[in-house]
Amino acid sequence: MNETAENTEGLITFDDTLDITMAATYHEKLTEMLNKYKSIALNGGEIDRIDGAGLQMLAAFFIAAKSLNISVKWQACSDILKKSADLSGLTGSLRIE
Amino acid sequence: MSIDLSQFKQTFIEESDEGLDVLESGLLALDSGTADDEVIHAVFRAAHSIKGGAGTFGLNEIADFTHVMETLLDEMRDGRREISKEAVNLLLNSVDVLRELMDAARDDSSPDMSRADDVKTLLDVMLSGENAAEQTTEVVSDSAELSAEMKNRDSRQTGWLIKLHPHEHMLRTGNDTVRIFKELNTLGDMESTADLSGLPELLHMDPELSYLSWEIILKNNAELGDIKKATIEEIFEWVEDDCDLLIEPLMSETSEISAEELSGEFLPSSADTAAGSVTEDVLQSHIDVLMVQDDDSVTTDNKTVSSSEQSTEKIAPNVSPIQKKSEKKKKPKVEGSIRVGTNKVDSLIDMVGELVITQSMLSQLGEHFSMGKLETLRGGLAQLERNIRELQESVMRIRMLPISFSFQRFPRLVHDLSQKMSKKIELKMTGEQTELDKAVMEKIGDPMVHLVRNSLDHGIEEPHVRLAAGKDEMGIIRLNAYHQGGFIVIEISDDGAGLPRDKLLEKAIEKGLVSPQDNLSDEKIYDLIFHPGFSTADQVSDISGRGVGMDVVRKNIKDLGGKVEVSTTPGEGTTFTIRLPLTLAILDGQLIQVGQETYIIPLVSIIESFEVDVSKINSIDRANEVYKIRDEYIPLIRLYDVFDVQPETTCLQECLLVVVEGDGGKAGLLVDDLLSQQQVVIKSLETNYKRVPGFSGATILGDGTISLILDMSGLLILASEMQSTPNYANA
Repeated sequence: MNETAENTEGLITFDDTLDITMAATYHEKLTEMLNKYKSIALNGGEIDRIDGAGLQMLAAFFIAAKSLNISVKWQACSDILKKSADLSGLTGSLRIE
Repeated sequence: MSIDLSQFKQTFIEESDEGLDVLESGLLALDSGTADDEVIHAVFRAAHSIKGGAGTFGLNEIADFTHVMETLLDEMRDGRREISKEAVNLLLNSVDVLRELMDAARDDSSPDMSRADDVKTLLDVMLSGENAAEQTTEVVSDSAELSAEMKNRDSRQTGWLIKLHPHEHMLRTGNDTVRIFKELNTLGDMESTADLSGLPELLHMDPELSYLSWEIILKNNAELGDIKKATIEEIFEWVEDDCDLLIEPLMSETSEISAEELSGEFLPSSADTAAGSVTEDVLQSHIDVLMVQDDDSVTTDNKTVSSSEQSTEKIAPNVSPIQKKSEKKKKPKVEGSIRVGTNKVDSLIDMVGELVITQSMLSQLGEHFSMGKLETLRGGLAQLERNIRELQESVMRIRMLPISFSFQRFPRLVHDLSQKMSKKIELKMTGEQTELDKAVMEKIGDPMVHLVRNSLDHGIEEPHVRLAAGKDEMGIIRLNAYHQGGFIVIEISDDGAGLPRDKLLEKAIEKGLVSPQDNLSDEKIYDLIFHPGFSTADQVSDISGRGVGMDVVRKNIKDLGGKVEVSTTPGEGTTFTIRLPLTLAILDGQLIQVGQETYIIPLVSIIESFEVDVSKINSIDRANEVYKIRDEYIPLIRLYDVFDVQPETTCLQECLLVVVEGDGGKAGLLVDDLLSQQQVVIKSLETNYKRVPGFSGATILGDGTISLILDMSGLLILASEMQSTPNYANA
């Protein structure tokens, strides 16, 4: 997981696994990002394993960002992320194109 | 004088559960042809007792149903009827029905009689089977009508609506909604809608709990064919206790279907059956039809499916068994009970007697104490300690049950799955009387089922393959249990093909888990099957590989403080060995000191401990240090860094290194001192405070202070996260 900051935009790059084993770690990171930045980019291009816990956390993140008026965009989405979100009915909530 | 029988109803139901187990195991023995005459008598007696008891307690549905079973069994024990496979299968189905009826009686709810009525009709049909030939034509004709009706009915149903509400803990059990959705998606055209209304704010959510629920529309696909309800239920098999689930037919708007049309039309009417009978082949076809009917769940509870709504699709008002199960679960549950041998209770009373005597002796001593009686006081206190320890052991023994309670589900599982897979498999069980704590037993059931399913599916070869390999076409799965130290060891072995070493290695390299240059021992290669995400598509079938993987099996066993290992010999078979503590309430721990804090390491996690030899430490920086033990390098974890406490010393020569293992990995924990080893009573952190990564619980030490118990797997994860975060360790 990488996290970089340029001006006020934060970038979080997910590793290949975003499942329940990593949920606590990313939960902390995502919460931290919301506290730090007004604009956040997510890079999910490398995700090749994501489960219900990972998707649910992302959904909560998008809801929290919206309530804080923080803009969030996807820099990259892996096919597995897209497919898993689609199957879980979360494409809209995660604003995946 | 009137007697309130309701107070004995619970006891009757518990005894009936045991009676049903006797029925099931007896029928399975009859089916395999290994039973002697006594078995059919025992099966008959079990049914007879259930019928009698049910009548006494006014459970007429159970009494009536069991009466028909009993009649069939009576003919079988008298030799008037052959013990055929069809009859045994029908009686096994009847046992399932009785279990459902008993569950309803236990919860004081109205039983779902649709399945019971269907199976009872089949029993009636079988019972009136003397003049089978005469009736064959009639019933075949019935079957043809049946098919036509079913076809007609299917044309009205376009798919299924599934409402899924996972319980909060579901994800933690290793069951993943994405995996479930992927499986569903293979059945037809799927569209799911997530309900996020239960999702708390990101800040306040526990990322490992489940908060979402779903409505899923699963439509039949012309290429894939109509979706059977049983296929959907099979996908949810692993999670049926961890979620609320509703599976309803999705109907296209056609015409009104009355309850009369939908009830009972797929079976010969009682008038038909009264008039004559059928051959067992024809009966089997009816059983098949019944199974299809059960799959599609068309029979309704006197409700009418109307088409007056504007929508083109609507939901039929029938309710699936799983939904009913979930509904039932919402009712307050009867508290669990244990049947305890009188010898155990007697031993407990003896212990309490000893305790009272010691307490009395100490009281007297306290009243007239002088320094001259110090030795007597010490002796009394030692006696008190012995009494308490013995009392503790006696109380713990009360919770100990023979593992046969867990083993008894496997004969049916093996029977049903081996038939389904057309494999010939014999199950051999030994050590069924080995005892372990009830709580451990309840939690080890699912991992064991997974391992046995794996052996059935992937281990034992098909009969022709076995014959070609020079083996007996009958494969053998063995379950064995025994005590070793303070642990129970459970072995699940098969004489199948063994694990494919080269394929495992190839896959691990492909997935980047190991590099081609790594020189792995066979043991480590086989251990790869427990790695998360190692399951591959070609390992998944409808028998095993659904919803939960070997990584979850290992995780669940680790959560119980145990471990699972695999050994295999190509061509000869595979053995999974599970080691579990006998109880979850007490743990053997090593007390360690870090600064002013005392922590506890479970003894089972400790491999060795020694003084630090600085020359064996290699480091890139302080956050990434490794220690060389013999030919192996293990990561070094400075506990004072991880827990952010002030150590007594940071001088490595003055520290001690405790080598531990967790989640398949080893690490060296740097501690200030090793204190005593003792048994500790585990207190849940989650119940009393909240879940804290790196700790599995807490305990209260003799001096009244609270000490945290380290969770090795969590600690290793915590430490690796810290090591990957630059500067933290040196901060």
